[in-house]
Amino acid sequence: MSTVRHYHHSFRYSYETSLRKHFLLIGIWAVFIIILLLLAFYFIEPSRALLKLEDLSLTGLTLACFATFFRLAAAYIFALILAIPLALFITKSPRLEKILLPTFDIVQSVPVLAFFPVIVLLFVKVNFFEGAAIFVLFMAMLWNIVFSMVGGLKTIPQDIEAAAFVFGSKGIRKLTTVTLPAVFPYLIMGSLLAWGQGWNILIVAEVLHNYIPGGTQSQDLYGLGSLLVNASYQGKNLPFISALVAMVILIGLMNFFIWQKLLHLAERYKFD
Amino acid sequence: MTDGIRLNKVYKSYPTTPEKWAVRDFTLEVKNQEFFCLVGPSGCGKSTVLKLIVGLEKPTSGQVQRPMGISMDFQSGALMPWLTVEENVAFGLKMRGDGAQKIHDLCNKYLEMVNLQHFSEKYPRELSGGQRQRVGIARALAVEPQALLLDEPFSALDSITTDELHKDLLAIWKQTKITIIMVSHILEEAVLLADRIGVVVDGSIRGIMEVSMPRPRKDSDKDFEREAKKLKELMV
Repeated sequence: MSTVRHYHHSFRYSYETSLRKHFLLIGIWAVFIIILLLLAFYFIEPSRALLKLEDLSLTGLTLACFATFFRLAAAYIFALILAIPLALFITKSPRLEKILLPTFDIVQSVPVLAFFPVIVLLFVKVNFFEGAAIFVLFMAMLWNIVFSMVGGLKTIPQDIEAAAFVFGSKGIRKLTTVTLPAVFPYLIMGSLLAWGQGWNILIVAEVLHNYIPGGTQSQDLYGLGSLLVNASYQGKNLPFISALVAMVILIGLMNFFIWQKLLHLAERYKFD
Repeated sequence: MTDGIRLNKVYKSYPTTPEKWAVRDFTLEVKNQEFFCLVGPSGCGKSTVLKLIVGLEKPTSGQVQRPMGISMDFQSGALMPWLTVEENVAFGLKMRGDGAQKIHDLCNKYLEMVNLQHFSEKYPRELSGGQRQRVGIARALAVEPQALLLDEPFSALDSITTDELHKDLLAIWKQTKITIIMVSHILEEAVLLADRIGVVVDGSIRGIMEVSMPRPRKDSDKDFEREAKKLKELMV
């Protein structure tokens, strides 16, 4: 019998091994990026860099990439942590679902930028500018993950749920051994869409001075979004194009190293 | 806890409008180590009875007595697509908290029993329908239950594969000496396999027929047609 090969050979590990391996890889990359970011911020003062765009160097551009990626990643992690229990809660019972799903549908269609000025002011009061950006990105990303996961939860075959019950998989164990693996493809799709939303909102999220009364460019957060806006505002074409190209390269690298691999891995989790 | 399986005046309804009775006044006793089949038309409540026995559904009224160890195989196999064959077979054992060596030994034992010992690293998507059904059976047996429930396990398979699996199932039953309750909508299949057959119509047991033919049985035997005819008459 010929073997049907749907998966790249590097993913032919047991589920537990590949899960550990992938989370370890993600963890190592996260630590690496955070260390680079902290080192870079030590040597460059981001707030002044936005005022002197003509001095933008490759190092400065790389720092902007890391800073932006860090904000998006932080927002994504918070969105994921909230989205999973939210989706599970929504689908807990048909009655709850009838009430909550339309409610959240309405909430998610309210533009997050509509209440961005209020959010910024709240975070400015406690002198936590990064929080404002991360919160807005988080709100933009959250609903894609929630609704994708709700869709995934509703497609888990009844036989699988029955098998989980029969073989004693309950509670948290059922969540980790059956539910989360079963919705993994939907989580990946939702995450892809979430990051797309994040990139969309980025330009606003990093440019805070427009929303602070009497604000100046020094209050913007250093990153690709603020570079694009400030370069455009100052009429500096080279930094603008550099930032744009850097963004495209960053998105391309993410697509190649992260999303394509996750989408390929997700094939293993799909039901026939 | 009993060794056999007993249902005593069991009723099961669902909260629809109007109220739907899936099972009504259902009384049945299946003896220890018996091979029992439930047959009946689609929607008569056979699968609901299995769910009541395994505990997936709670009866609206009545009593269900079941042995300590009870396991189930499903029509679709219900294999986790992200787990290998061995990991699927090990699933119940891991949930039970068995040690790694014991799990490995039991998986090997039951994969050999279903002739899939060389497929342990494959994923369900790489198997045929018959092979997936074998894995489902191995998974159900690996927890070494006292009773095994089968919900139309062969209905999605071709006749040649089904014949092979019939022989394998009987061999496994003979070897493990467990109680088997199998749901089927194919009367001939029930006559071929079962010691006794319960006919379910509209959620109730219409009658129980004992199959007097000795094993091994063939559908070409002259007694086979007579038993199948008796069963059809019970259903009418």
